[in-house]
Amino acid sequence: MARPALEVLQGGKNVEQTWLRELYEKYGSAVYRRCLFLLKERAAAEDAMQDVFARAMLNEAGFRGESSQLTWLLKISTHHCLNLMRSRKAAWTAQYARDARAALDGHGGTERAEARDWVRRALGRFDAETQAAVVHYYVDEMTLEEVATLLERSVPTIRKRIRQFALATGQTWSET
Amino acid sequence: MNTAPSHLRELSLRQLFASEEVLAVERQHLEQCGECRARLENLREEQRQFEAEFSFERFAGGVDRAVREQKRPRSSPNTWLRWSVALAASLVLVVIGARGGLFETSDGGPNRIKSGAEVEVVVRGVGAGLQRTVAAGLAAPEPLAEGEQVRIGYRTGDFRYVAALSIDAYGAVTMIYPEAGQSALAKGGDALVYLPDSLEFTGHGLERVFVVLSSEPLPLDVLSRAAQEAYRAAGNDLSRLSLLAVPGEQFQRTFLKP
Repeated sequence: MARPALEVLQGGKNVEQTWLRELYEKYGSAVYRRCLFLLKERAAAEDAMQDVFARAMLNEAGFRGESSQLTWLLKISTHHCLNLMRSRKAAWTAQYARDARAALDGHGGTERAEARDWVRRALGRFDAETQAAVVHYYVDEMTLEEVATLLERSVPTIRKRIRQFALATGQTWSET
Repeated sequence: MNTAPSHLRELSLRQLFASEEVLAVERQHLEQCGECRARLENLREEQRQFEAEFSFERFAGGVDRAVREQKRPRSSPNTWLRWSVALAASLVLVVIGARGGLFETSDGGPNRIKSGAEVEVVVRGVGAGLQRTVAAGLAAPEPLAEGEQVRIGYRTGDFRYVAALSIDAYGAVTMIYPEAGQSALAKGGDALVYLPDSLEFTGHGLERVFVVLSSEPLPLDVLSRAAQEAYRAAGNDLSRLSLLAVPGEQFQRTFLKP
């Protein structure tokens, strides 16, 4: 029987701490960056990051079975933060644009940062599935096939959503 | 518009950083590309900064708190599951169970109800004129519009105890009724009794609701574990979720949250 929770596993606390530390060292920054990118507030991003890792702990069996734990964590992070944004009606305001740009410039260069900033600013105009697809496509630079697999949708569906997003935001889009 | 197609994407760099599998061609590119190696080093520096800002102790403490929070029955307005006592103007009565055929029962069929037990679900529309008839079958989840509320009613028949829980697309289990202890002593017998208050799902995606009627009280942690095990057995796919391995009669219904 799979263990239901952290504190229930007899004698397993050290094992769990070791596993959690491994997740922290491998994925902590990636998950936090995704949360900060979407939420724009450090405290909110930290809380969201903790929620994401908690979900991984509570779904350990499924999580460990993922071919890419990073991809799973980014999916959950994106989904969770988009939900938080909708629930609190978070605005994509210019208030945080400077911070976001600075953070993005730190690991990817100006062109990549501009693309991500454009994506982030435009997200609020679209439905939940398009938002998730757009983040994974433009920010994670996944292929249409990878996004479709991750979101459990068909490639044509994802292509359609990406194309609609691109057209609606005045971008020229061609499948690469 | 994938940027920098001639270089490794950030996802691949992060996978390399985490010692995950990447394509051989990507490893070869990394060996030959100074720019990508520099970007990988930037990720290492980013992680160092992260660890400087959030110590492991702080991180682990926060995750532990979040684990406890996610395990706790959620009933506040700040969570995805919100109870409301508001009286809605319009009601859609959806009979689920023997007559409606929308719930599966523990014998695997939609139409057999043991000892007169029955469950009914009432969907409250957002406004007048928005009532609708719900399509039958677990294969077609019931779509919920923003603000719509759900009430769950039951007839116990020969059973004496009732419990309701839900599980979302990520496997998070929430006890709907009662919220702690064990399944509650049912009322009514042949009379239709509604669980207290209305239920409004927030968040998005699928949500499966189980109502379990039993002859003996069932500890809620047993029910929660049964739901989690069913979820894992379904390959973490809520649409493939089977019945819970608990005694009694159970009814289930899948909703698609707005």
